[in-house]
Amino acid sequence: MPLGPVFTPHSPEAQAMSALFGAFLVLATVIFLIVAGLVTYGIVRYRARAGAGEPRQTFGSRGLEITWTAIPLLIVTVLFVFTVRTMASIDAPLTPDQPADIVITGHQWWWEARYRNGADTANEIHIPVGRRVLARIESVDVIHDFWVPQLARKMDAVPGRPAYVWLEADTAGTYSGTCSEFCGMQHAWMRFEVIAEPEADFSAWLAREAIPPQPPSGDAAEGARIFQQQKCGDCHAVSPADTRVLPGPPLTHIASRRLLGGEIPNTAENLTHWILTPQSIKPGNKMMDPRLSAVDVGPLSAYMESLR
Amino acid sequence: MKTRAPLGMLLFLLNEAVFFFMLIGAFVYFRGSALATAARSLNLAGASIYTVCLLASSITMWRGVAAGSRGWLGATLALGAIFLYGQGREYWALFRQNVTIGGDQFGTTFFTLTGIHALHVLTGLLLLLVLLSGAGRRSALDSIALYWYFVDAVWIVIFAVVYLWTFV
Amino acid sequence: MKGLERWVSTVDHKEIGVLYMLTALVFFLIGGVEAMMIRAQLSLPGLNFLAPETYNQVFTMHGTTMIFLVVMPVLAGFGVYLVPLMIGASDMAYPRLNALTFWLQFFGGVLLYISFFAGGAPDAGWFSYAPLSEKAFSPHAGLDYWALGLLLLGSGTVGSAVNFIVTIANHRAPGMTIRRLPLFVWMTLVNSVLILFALPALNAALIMLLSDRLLHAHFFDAAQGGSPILWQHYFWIFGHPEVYIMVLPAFGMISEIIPVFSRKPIFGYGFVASSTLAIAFLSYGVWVHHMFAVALGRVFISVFAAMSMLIAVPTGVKIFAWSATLVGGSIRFTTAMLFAVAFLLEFTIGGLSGVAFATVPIDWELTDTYFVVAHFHYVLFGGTAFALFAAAYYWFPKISGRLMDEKMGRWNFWLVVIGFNMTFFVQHLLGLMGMPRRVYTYPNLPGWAALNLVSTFGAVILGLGALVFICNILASLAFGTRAGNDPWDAWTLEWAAKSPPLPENFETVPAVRSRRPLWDVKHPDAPDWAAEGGA
Repeated sequence: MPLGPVFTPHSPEAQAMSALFGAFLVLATVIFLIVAGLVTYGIVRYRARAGAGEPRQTFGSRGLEITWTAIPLLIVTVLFVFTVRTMASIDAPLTPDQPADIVITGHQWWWEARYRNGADTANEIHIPVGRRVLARIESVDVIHDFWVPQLARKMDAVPGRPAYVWLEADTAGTYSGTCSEFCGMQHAWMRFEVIAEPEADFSAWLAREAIPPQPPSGDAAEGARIFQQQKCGDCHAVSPADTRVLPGPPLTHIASRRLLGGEIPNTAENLTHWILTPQSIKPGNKMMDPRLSAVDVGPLSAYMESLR
Repeated sequence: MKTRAPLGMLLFLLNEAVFFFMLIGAFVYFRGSALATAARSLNLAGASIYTVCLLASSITMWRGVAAGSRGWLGATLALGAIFLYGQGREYWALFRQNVTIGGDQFGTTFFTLTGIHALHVLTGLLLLLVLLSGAGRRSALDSIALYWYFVDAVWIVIFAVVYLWTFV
Repeated sequence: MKGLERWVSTVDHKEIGVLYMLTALVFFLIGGVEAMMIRAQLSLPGLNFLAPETYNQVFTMHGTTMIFLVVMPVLAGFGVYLVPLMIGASDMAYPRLNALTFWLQFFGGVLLYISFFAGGAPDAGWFSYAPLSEKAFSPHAGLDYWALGLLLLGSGTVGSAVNFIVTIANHRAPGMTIRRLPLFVWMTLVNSVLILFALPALNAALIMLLSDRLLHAHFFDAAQGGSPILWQHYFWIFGHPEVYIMVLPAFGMISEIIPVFSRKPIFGYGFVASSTLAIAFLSYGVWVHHMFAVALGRVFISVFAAMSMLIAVPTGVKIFAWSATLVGGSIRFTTAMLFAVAFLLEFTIGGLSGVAFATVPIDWELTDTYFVVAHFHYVLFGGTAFALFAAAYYWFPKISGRLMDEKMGRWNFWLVVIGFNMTFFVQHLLGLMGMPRRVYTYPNLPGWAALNLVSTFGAVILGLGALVFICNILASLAFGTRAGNDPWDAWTLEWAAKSPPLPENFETVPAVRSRRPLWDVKHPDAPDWAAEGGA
């Protein structure tokens, strides 16, 4: 049986939550066993015997009743203390006195991550290993919830109400995340990845993402023309300088991303498929069918492949 | 059993009190963003006049119950109608200033809160009308009176929160 | 035709009670079919049995149906049927209001389901979070039907709560003091007070949502200055007491059934009764634990965490009291008792996993995952539904005059217990593995497919168990053994009435001098009122 993310935390914040859950699990198991033991003892020992009359009528015991009120009270008091202490150690401030390193914005149904240097990407969040970064969680439409189970607490993305979380990973790797608040038709596939990489790799990635992609040439240039002609740019940015709030994810460096739609591998084949029939892979997404001919899709796909 | 009906009505009004508490709560919640429009467009003097009418109607209701008199109850009916007329005029004035439920947070909270209250007043008037026309049972009067006092009391709170608090 | 007219126009509390229960049973079948559709779609990753928009309608309707059209009406039905009998009254205080509130709830349910034929059922979840539930994001009329249907249901519920309180306040038999109320009546009373304070919050929120949707107001629309958080507060100010509203009468049923089949009075009536008051009181201070994932400030959240933990204490008091009632008894394992004992264990699991969500950092991991789905099904199915099965077997002879079949009862019990735990226990694990709830499908991550398949198989077994229950009702109505007035040798007043009771309930109400008037009648040598702690 694979261990769930709750038992494989990869940040101090997630480790604190995991430890508290472990302790809680032990406590809950003990309490359940006590109740189950009492019930089992009752039903085995006091089964009706044939011919037995009414048992002795007893009405309660004040001492016992007070005991099983007082002990749980004590237990929850201790639990409360640990709760408050753990909260304080993992929660980012409500209004931090430093600017956010990443602004993460929920859209129906994709995640945008914009960095302070202008880098802007979708469904893929890069962070440096071993350094805590401050993420600001926002939404432009309905309520979403940002959740990377192995790294950080859940945080609701409420429109008009930004919130903050610490994002940190103690090991390099790819951590899956998901929207955790029901947000409409494609809530299920509002998934994303957090990629934690060594500081040098992270810096290189960040710098690369913040500059405009190479101007297209050849087939890709023809694709760029079709992109313009089809008004794809009304919904998708292709330059870090484009800071409009758009319904579609930025395509600025789409070729450097691992996934399409937070769901399927970013291959030329899948990309072509998506452009030809935008509603087939993630039905309900906000992309209109451009009704392109197979002839046009090739160059457009080549243009996308050139954006790295 | 004489106490039966008023206990049921009292419990119903308890539920209504919580209901209005929530609606007034929403008004207060949005007060910050609604205050400017409120101060600009509300008519305190006009509202005071029809508020007095509604309060007076509680007194006539009380006399009507105590004396069992149709005249006092008729007066209650008239005063309640004046209240609604006054409120209607105020709505009209607001509409002409382009203050509507779909406008800003003031319009949203003001029209919902006072509109729901006005529906309660209207219900009270209809109940009274049924009673006066002889169709209702005389024993229902105690309950209707209780309802009427409640609706008036709620208006006092609404008037204080919506009007007085805006202009102090 | 004559029969139909009678049922439509009846104001008799027993007939209205039966109407409630039958309506709930029909909606239970519908809600059950919806549950099966959900489990079918989720049995394996990437299935296309339901389209995403259909799935969202189905899970919204499943939740709304089970809460508002099954649990609420069936509890009201048992209450309306039993409360007058248990307190020695001839009817509810307001018989016509009783009929009205039933029909309000009936047509509320009908209205909700008409939405399927009017452009689509509501699809924003039973909690309809704004702004997803606003016109801008849910333009079709489903949400309007949802809000209007719930307003009708809510008004009906308030009406029946008023009726219960006045009935219990004014129509008790001589000698039936408040401290001698059967615990089911006591918990129905406390429950009715909860309803009076909780339902108006929902009604106010629904009025505001309808203003937004139909009149272009903006209470909850952030883009226009509204506040989505206000909806959450208002909905959960209703919604958390609502959980106790769905569970307190079930506690009352268990408190009647366990003593009778243990042949002993409840262990510590006073603590069981007063812990109910504590739960009712605390239930208004815990709603924010549904919103711990919102950034609301640590101090604010801590207060609600403390209250949410505290409420576990009076709940625990009850579990211990019921368990201690078994000890020293002479236990008869009827199907009713089997369900009641299983309730103790299943509900304890649900109660304990509830404390996990009061422990804020655990909530930050697990809220809105399948762990929550597991948790509240242990509370509402393992708790309320198990109690309802027990209650059905226990009171069916009073209502119909015939016993339910015990052999089918065993099948019913074991299929439900096995199916239920198989369906929902694994969902704890899915939550711990990171599976979010309210998803129409999921990626094929390690372990997810296997556990979901187990859960779906469990649901099939559970469904079979429910079908056996319905067959048992139908078969027993026709062929069941005649029950007589008091088949369980019980102690509360309803067993002194005929089975089924006369239209006026009692010819003469036995004297009430203790909490167990019929024990006193049957044991004049050792009546409760003479025993210490008995009266």
